[in-house]
Amino acid sequence: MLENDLMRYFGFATFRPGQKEVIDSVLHQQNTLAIMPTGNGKSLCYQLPGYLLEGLVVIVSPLVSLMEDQVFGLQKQGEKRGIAFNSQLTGTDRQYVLHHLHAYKFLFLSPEMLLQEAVLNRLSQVPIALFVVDEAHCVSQWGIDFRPEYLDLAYARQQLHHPTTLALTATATKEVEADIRRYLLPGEAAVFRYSMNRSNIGLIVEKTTDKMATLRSYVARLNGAGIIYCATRHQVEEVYQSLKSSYAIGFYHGGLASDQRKMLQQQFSQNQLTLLVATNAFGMGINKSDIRFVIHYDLPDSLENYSQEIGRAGRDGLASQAILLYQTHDEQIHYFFQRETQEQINQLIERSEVDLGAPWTPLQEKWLQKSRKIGADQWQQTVQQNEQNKRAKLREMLRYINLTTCRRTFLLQYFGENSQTIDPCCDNDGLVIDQEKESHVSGQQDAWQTLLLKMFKDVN
Amino acid sequence: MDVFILALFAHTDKLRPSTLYQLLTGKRTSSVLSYGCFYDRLGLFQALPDLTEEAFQQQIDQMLRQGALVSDPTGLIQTVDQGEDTRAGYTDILAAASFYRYGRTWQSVWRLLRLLIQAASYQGVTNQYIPVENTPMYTEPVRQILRQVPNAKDKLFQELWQIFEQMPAEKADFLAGTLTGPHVLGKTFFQLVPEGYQEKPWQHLYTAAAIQHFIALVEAQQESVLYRSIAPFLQQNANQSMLETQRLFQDGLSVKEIMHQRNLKEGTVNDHLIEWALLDQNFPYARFDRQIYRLLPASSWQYRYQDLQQLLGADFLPIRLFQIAQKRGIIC
Repeated sequence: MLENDLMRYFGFATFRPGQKEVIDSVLHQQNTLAIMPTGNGKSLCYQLPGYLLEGLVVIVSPLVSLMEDQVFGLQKQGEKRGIAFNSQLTGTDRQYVLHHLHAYKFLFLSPEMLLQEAVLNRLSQVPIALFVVDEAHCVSQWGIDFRPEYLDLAYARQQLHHPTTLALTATATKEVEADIRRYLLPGEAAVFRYSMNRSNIGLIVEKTTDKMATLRSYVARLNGAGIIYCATRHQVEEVYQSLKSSYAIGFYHGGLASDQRKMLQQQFSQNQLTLLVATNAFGMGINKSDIRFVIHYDLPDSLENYSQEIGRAGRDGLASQAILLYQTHDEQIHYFFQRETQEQINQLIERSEVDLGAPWTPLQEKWLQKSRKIGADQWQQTVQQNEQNKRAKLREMLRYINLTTCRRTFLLQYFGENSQTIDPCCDNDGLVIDQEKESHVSGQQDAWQTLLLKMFKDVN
Repeated sequence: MDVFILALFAHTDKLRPSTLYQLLTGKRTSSVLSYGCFYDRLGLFQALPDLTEEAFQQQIDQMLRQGALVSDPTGLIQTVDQGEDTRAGYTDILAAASFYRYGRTWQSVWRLLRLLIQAASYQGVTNQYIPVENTPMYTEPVRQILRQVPNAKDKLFQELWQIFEQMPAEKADFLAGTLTGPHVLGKTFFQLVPEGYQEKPWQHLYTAAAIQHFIALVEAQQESVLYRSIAPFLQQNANQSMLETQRLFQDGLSVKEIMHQRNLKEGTVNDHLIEWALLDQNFPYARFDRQIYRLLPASSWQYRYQDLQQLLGADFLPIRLFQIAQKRGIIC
């Protein structure tokens, strides 16, 4: 009985919807695609089989923050054999890990890292229990966050002697699903698709001319822990500075060292902090089951990313809120990034024609490598198509902002699902926030003598 | 940044902004390093590696226009003599920083110590805790130390107590606040840095100066568990090629012999010896002609090098070395 194993390793009596089927499938060595909403416990779908199968679980993940979150999650469960094998490790550390793979059960790494010859070569010498591709939609140019390196995972899989593969994603249209199957899951693959609807999360869009005032007003009325997402590190720190005298709040972005981020995760987990202000990229690494609200201070670039980000709220199934603040011209930052990318593409096309040895940006370097591999024409077509897709996705995001009808229905239809009736569902259906809460600021910091006595002499 | 620039130039001597910029961003040449030593700014060597020259110069220009700084006809700069009292805390931090000595590893030293202290403090309590670090760079040395040192928990408690007692209470509270153990969850640097130091680059400088001060105190206790734990990290601060030159010089080789044996240029060997002298109070000055030292005019670094050379009739290396000794008050 899988339930017995679930109880033994995780202390849960029952699975969440879909988990058991997916786990059963990989345990039967079936290549599997699981499309499950954020917050549904995707990680358990590889963690439990990991314990039941011999060998190492290799998890490909696109973001450092997600790897750190997964390792931290394992540590919270008492599992110390997880490691994020990424650029934060020194060369010596990486060598150490590669020579002590038997000491690890869960190895998280980016596709770029996996495809390094020394890494792939070493991994090919050890038994792989399961090959997991997290955020598998990155393989598709139709998906948001297309990462061309994901296309090379088929090669990596082959080098690893075709281990059973589990592809996981929260967002996959039919086109993306087809790409995942084509590139990552050759042959017969089991596909499990579950509704991306998170019925316990209320949806609100607030148009404002003064975002900071509106943010303050919401934070003052919302109870429980919350995340505030911003587009840039600078904005994150600005919001933090504005609120820090009134709330137990921290900020969280890629400019902080990993140990600092880990401390913030722990403080947030243990309710020493009630608010975390984070960039969208690094905020994806924040994991806490009872987050009651997610506020977007800046406009997300797509409904795919928005859905993933608001999915951080209400993992415990209790009522939670997703509030998006919008001020006219908020979309400009995305237009700016799009223009910048387009310029880099144009530059690359023009330069590659005359083959000047001028220095490239890191992104151009990556494209160039890909272009050499798959041919310049196909590369151009792929990248241009991806840019077009991004523009289309931003337009859909803006449509969502300007809706006067049910936001959930729109979201579900966007992902190819039927509407579901939930009450209250969104601001357009009458959802309002009218609670009151007391502000809570962190307590006084102890003197060093007190801290040492608490830690070493059990004086509490 | 305004306060930083003011604190940087708050000095009785006039300073050259372009050299200070090279110092802050870590241009490792003997002239930049010596300048840092002579004008008491060596501790800031590579303190702000990401600072752009444009931003630094713009800030200085703006403050010159505002009258907060004054420039002489040769481009040397100093502060207008106001606000000394309000700047005291900031200038103290700049004076306490030891980036030249610990710049490469002070952050990893503190991360290692946080894990060591956490692991030791949980001894006899439980082994079910979330370690603050999980990469081998930290976990393996900590595992080794705890295996080798009996009663590490008590020893570390005593050593920490002793070190924190030697620090200003504010700094000790700050560092202790980042530690994690039974009943205590550490805070991040930005949560603990006092209000007046929240702006860039003070948050970074405040944190660095506190940790570097702690490390310097540990370094003075070479028998301690704390020192044994961090010693391998501290060794990484030194320029490895310089260490090789140092070893050969200690074996009795001359500069020329080292140049020949290592296939290095004279300038490189000179740089190595100057770096060594800047790091080590016990540099063997006696290997050079001490007559040069005796003939050095007071505050010799304020003289033009050509004038000194004419006066002393000596080569660059001994002049520079004895200037360092003179600045440091080392009797040769």
